[in-house]
Amino acid sequence: MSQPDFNLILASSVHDMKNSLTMLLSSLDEVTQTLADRDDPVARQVPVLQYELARVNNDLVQLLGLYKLGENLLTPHMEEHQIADLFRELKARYAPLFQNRGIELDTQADEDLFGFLDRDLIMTVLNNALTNALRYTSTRVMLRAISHENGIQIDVMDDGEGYPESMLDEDYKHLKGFSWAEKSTQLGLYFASRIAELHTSAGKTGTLRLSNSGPGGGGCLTLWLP
Amino acid sequence: MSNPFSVLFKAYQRKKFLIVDDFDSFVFSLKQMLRRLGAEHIESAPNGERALDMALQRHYDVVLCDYNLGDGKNGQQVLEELRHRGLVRHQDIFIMISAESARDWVFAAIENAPDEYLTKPITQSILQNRLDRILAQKETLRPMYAAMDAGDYSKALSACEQALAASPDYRPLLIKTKAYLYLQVGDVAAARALYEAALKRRPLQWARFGLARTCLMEGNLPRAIELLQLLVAEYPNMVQAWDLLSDALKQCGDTHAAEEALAEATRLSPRTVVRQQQLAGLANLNDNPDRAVEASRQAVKHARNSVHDTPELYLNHAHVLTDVIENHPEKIAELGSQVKETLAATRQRFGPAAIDPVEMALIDARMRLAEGEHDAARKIVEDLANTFSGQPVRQQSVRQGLAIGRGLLMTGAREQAEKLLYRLIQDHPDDSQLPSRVEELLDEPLNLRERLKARELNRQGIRLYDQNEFERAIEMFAEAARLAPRHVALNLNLLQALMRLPDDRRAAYRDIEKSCLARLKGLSQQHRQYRRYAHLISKIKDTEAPS
Repeated sequence: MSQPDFNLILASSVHDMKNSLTMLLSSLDEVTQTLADRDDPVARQVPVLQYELARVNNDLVQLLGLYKLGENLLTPHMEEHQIADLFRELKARYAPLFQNRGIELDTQADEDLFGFLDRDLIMTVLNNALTNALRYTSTRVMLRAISHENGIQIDVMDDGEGYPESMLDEDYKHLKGFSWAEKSTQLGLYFASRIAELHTSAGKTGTLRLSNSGPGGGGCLTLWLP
Repeated sequence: MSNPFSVLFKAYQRKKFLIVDDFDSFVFSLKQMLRRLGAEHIESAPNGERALDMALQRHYDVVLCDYNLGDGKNGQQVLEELRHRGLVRHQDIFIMISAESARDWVFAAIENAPDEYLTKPITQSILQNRLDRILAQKETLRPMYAAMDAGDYSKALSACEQALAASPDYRPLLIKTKAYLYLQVGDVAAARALYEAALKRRPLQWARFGLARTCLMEGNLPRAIELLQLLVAEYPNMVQAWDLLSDALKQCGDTHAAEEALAEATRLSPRTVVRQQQLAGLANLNDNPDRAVEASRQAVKHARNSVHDTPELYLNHAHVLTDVIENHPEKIAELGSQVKETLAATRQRFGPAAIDPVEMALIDARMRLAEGEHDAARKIVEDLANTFSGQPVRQQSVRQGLAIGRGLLMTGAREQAEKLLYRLIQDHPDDSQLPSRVEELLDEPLNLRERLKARELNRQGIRLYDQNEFERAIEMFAEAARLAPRHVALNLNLLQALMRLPDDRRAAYRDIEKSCLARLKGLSQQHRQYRRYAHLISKIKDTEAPS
């Protein structure tokens, strides 16, 4: 018998898990709404559940995306999208969670700023960036988009302690070996960097950069898309 | 949760929602979410067929439809049918939902694109954000959408321009719509300018598709094909680009490549009846009998419960099968019974009166011919011809007349056919198309494949002639004349090309010229090409006179 194709097994399992998770997430959404209607104190615990579920969902989406990238199946569907609208959606999704943690979430984008991007892919990247920022920030997280060099620049900033020095010079274009000791595979950054690369326009390619230019030296993830 | 006193809450209260999904728990949770937004009228359908039925009964303002609906129609087909029947108007909202990235299915043309895509999991906040936005957009742009729904595209165009000035938020959408509206009012150049301007900024998919469309409309086939090939290479799932590519290739005469492009579109979206029928036609043309039969069968299968479910569709299927049998008599055992079954099924489904008896008899005659029962076939057609000629002119149907004429030709009764057809022209002087259709029937081969091949060769010959490539043109015309020896215009083209050659070269084609002249001899003075014929003959006489 031939070796089973592990990639394929993984992809189909992920598919299945995602379906369950979809149901789980919407049931939880149900519960949240009901609890909120009743003003039940248990409601305060729900955002934590939502947060972890959203993270798992995001990881699975990312895993599926990486599988497709590997198989050359990932074609970005580039369209013009209003950045302010993307931000509104993120804000609506994360508001309860941020509130629960006592962290502020600010967004800033001009209404007439349009980016040329694959909405689902970029949302996955921003979802990741936001949940990460929430982990490391002290009081607030800021999403900002500006028009820059014939493209758009999106910054996800926090006011935490910033990225460690060793992470700043990486370009994350290649996946490093996984070490159980380090815990973080930086898979999210690798994914984000590959997604940025998929965004091309007029001979230019999107980029991902980390810096500590957040307020008070906090971390800042910068996505530039042509 | 939205504020019960907000303007939008009231808007949700008024709207009628339809959810199309086969997954009960998902429908339930979506209903809950909509209620929280204020919605009161929410119904659901487990599949596309039911959704169409429901939409015929009452109008829905917002349709939320899952792309994957099990075995039946998919979301795209539901949308196409709803739009086609005017059940979802531009003022209404259609949202496509998918478990994965919904954009894997790409709809670049405005007429078949959903207003919004949602990827599962859908949460309250995401749903509200998207619905709020689309409701506001439809409200702001209502004058434009209403004009589009009324078919008043110039009014829609001016509404679009006003909106562009007033609502920068919707700029990309409005520019895309504006280009589409230019195409609707026939201003192809203006549409092209918009697409080109948009492409200068970014390689937008809809603009690339639109530009290819304008190239096709302007007859710039090579450019259209080039653009579309790039598009499908990048987005292999883009059904509409494959459709358009097939169309362009067909217009270029490359029916084989056209068939392959259409086969790809059909593979991606197998449930579209019209596309399957077109594929059957192309496959027959290219003598690909298995694909022709299969595509035509799929067309019938997927037509059930759709606007295409008509006796004509069944009859067309019978014709496709008979076409195949005509080209491949060895298939009669396999396909002959299918023709009979198809006809029986038509009668059963639509009643005995649904099929035109003349059509029915002609299919019967074609079958008899294929079975080698020549006399029986001839008898059927002659009976039809007699009955037809006995009718008062007012009651005659031109279509039937042409079909019977064709039947007579098929059974070798050429004289009778000419009599019937010329009479038909005389009796129906108001039908301006009729003389040329009769001429086609009499001059060109009856076999569809040969007919189209001859036409294509003739076209290529004309192109070469225009480029002063006379010898190559002669080869094309001569080859076409082998397939369509009676085709008068074609023979005259051949003659004309021969006359452009210098004497020493022309001598090399003496045999071809001789047989061409023989074929033209005795051309009826009633033929529309007669004057051209007489003119060319007189010129030949002039050049030959001195010798």
